[in-house]
Amino acid sequence: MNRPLRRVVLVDDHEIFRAGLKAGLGPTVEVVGEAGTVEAAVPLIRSLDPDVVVLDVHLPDGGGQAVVPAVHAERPGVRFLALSVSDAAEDVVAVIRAGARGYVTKSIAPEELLDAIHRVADGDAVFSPWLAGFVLDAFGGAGGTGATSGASGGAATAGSSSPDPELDQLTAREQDVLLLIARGYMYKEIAARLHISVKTVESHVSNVLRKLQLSNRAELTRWAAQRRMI
Amino acid sequence: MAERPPHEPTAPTAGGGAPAPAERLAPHRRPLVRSADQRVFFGVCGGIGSALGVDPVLVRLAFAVATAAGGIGVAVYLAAALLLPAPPPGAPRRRYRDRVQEAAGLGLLLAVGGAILSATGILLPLDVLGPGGLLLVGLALIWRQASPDATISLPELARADQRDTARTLIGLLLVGGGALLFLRLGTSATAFVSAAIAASIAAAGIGLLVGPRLRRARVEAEAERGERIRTEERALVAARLHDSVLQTLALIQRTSDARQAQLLARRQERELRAWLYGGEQAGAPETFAAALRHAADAVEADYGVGVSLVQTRDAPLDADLEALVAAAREAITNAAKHAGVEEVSVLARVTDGEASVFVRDRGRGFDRAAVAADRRGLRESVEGRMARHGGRATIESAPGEGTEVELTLPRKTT
Repeated sequence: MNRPLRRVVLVDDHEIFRAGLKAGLGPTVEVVGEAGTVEAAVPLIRSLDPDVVVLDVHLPDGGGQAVVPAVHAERPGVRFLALSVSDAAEDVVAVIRAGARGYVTKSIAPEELLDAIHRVADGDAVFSPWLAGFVLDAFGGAGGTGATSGASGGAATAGSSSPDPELDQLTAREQDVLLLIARGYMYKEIAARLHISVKTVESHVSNVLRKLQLSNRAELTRWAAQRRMI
Repeated sequence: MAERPPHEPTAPTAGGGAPAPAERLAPHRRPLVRSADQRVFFGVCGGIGSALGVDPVLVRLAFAVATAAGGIGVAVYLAAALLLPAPPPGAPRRRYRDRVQEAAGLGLLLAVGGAILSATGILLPLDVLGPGGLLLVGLALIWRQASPDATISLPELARADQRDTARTLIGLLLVGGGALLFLRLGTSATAFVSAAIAASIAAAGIGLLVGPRLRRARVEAEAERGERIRTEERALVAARLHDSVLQTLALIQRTSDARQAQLLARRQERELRAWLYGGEQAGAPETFAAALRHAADAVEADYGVGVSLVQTRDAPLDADLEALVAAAREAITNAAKHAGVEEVSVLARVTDGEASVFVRDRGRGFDRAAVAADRRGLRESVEGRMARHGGRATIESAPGEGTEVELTLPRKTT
């Protein structure tokens, strides 16, 4: 596949990890800058205006979620891909809700990370299996039995006053897609299995991301606070 | 005061004439602490002696002379007993029986001598000495309490707290009592004033001599204790890292097989993480997620195939969930053995109504009809087990397309 060259900034406080990351990215990604702290990252990203920022969830002077809004105001075109070792779900959800377009774990294979970077650069969303599983649980719908638990979940959060109640629930199709991601399927495989196009899979995932970012569900935070990625 | 004759209740403290048995010249200077092995009463003279490198008998003599000069010796002795750090916990101690006789004799001598002296009017009147002594002891108690005591070791801290409080209270009582008594002396206190001035001068002198040394000893002991704690912690972490991480790193350096190195690293990462974030290390796992993690780790270790496990919600382990874990383990093992892949993806979900596990590989797959006969593992350990617990197993596979095993178990909980 012919991929355009992407300009990327790496933000991670571990220099060794940044070096390893850089080495594995290949010719379609150009690392134009690196930073290890929130303080250093924000002005760097503003001045470089990269396509994608690969952002560690944890930085010494604050979470990665501090970087996203600080950049967004001036550079709305910059997209963020969050990544972490194994952290509290709370922090991951916080980065996503701050505006990151996706989340992957640090143990991700280099080619998959490359894939994720291009996907995020294209404006799509990237969910790791863990995040997909988490979102499924947090939104309360159980794969096939979404009807009952979805209804009760909706009732429980009626008071949370989302501007749009549709944001508080996943459609059956979105649940199907998330479940397959959680089971370890790649987008291509999901498309084949559900007899839809990869583009449709991507749009489902993007919709879920939007819901994750905009929903007021109190459960999201509660869930996240209790969970640690395993 | 100087004209006052010797011998006071103080004398016992000084152990003036005491034939201290274990006396020996300290070969070199030691920190100023109370002595454990040369003590008669509180070990003050012994301690000062060994700190200065002189015979304790000389120190005792000095105290006796000071005592004779109006009773200052007693007060200084008591103050020193309270202020000097206790001997180190491990130090050899003089046996109680060895010194009790000596102490009793000295005490008697002091009491009789003191009585005679005060009767003949040579000594400061008791009504001045008494309150003065109370005041000094009380102040010393409070001072000691206020300054950190370097000799308290960590496990004793809780008890020390109570003791400190008690000390402060007693000190306050003594100070208050002494002050009251002085007030009652009224006009006859003039004699005391001169005595007090002399005593203060002597005390200040001693304080100047001993104070800095004392402080330094304290600070050093404090620093030493902090250093010791840090060292112990570092040793603990170092031992742990050495046994695990360093060994693995050494192994990885010698491994030319990248795949092998990756597995080693993964395993080490899991172990380290479990240790750092408090894992389910000891004993049998108690929750569904922990049990499944345990099973996945075991397969990974046995077959050298990575198991990427995703699980978000957890539940306490019951018989049904145990069966689910066992079936899942069998399915993972099957994938690891037969699929010819480097990684197996596992998703575990727990909802209110059911628990499910998906085991997926992108391996060579198989045609169920063709191999069913010799695939006892899947039929018995997976399908049979799930059926016995009211669940079901769905196996999807085709040659070249990989395999996915889906295990579902209804849960009775609300």
